Amino acid sequence: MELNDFIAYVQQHLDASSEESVLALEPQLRALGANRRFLAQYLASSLNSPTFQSGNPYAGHTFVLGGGKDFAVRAVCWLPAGDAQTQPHVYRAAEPDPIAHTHPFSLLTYGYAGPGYETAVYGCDPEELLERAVGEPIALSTARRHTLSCGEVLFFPAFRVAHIQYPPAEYSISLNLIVRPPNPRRYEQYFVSPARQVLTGATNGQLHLAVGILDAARYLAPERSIPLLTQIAAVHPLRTVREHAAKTLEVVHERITYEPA
Amino acid sequence: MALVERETLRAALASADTFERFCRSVRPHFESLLRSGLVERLMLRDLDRLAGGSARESVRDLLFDDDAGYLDLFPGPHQAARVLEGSGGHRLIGLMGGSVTARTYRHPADHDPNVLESTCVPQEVNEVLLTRGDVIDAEAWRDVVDIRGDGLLLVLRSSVVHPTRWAYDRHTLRPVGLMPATRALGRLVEGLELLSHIGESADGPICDQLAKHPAHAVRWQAIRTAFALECPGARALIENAVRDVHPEVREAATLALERWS
Repeated sequence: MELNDFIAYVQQHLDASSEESVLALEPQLRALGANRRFLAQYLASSLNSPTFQSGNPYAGHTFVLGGGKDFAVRAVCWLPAGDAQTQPHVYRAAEPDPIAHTHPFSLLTYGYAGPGYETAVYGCDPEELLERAVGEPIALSTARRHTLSCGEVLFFPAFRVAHIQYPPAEYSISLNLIVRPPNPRRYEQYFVSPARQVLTGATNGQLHLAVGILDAARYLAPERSIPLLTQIAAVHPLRTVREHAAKTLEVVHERITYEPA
Repeated sequence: MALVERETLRAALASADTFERFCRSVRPHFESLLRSGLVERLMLRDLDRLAGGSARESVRDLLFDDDAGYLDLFPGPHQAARVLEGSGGHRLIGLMGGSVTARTYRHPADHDPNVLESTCVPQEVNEVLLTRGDVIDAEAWRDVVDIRGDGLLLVLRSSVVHPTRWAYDRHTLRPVGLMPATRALGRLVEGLELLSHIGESADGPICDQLAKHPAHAVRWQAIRTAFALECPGARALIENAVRDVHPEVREAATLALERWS
């Protein structure tokens, strides 16, 4: 299967609200992975383009190959443990408290090359993650360990699992189909300590733009920004956005107090 | 309106092929934009949209980041990091709100910016307190600007003049590292590295093309990839690299040839 055929197939058959629909795409992802030339051909034809990977928001050896309204197809390269470069969310040797992360999207992934990363997967309750504050306890299930070796497929459902990724023994490549579910209330990513069973952080992966807007809003005229910030802090569906708006409000109020017009 | 302003700036950037022209022809447009209130209006619209649950950014219609350069917003606080970073393009830095100090250093003598030289230390020029609407300019590589304080910066950078930029120790100002001037250049190197793992000798032409790239890191990775894929022209690429303009490429090519023979 060629990359364009895979994208067209997903476009036509994917129901982003259904995990079963994502899982049903496994044969097509395998068929794409069985094509041992498509990724090299993609690179050979695009590396010299001035727009190569322009708009790719990901750090760390991740290439966006295409996508549609609710999904993206990526190739991710996993660097071996001894490599001087580091990748986000990958375990580093001697880390005393490894942190697992959830995904705000479903991930169907295929081991395309190399021995692949090992991952410890923990089940978690999405409702509990939504309700807890950072520092509060989170119940995680016992870890299941998997290796994304060449030809293997793993599925990480959105919100329901947290996992730690360990760097592979050698350079490895995975193909990802990521699917964004339609419920924006779920667009947060969480970080948890399996050892301490504690929520250690929450970010706003899909709505990072919102945080940028709020950071910049601190410098706007307060008579215009305060009513809007107050509304966001009270009613925005995402907790991280509400909390960030509340903090921004505090900063704006402090500025008014200490810098009278 | 945002699109018109953006295209005006991009057109001005396209015609500014020297730092002197950049200051003469781009700066007036930038200052006009900074003082027009357009950015604030777009930010307020974004805040209003966020209050309605949407995170679409109107201000993104104005900002850009591509081959022409970039225009972006940087909210504070701007804190002193251990390492100061230079720029591969000319810059205009304007303050939209808040207050910051800008300390400017300048390389007094010419040097090839693509070759790191630890004794090539920039000298302090001045330190100025920026207030709303102030703009400073900085020449690619030659000027290093250290911004501190809590303010919203609007930064316009030209297209890449030098494919690499330097990092400096903040305390000694000694150059300590060489980085790709843009994320796109880093991605090229990563893409070539990926190709070296999955490609075949038929992918040689892209290596030949990128072995002539202005950035030495891209040139060398293209040669390494051609070598890894056993492309027919790999030996010729390495032999040519012995005469490369960059000393690190020359050194690595010489070593590779010795090992080969």
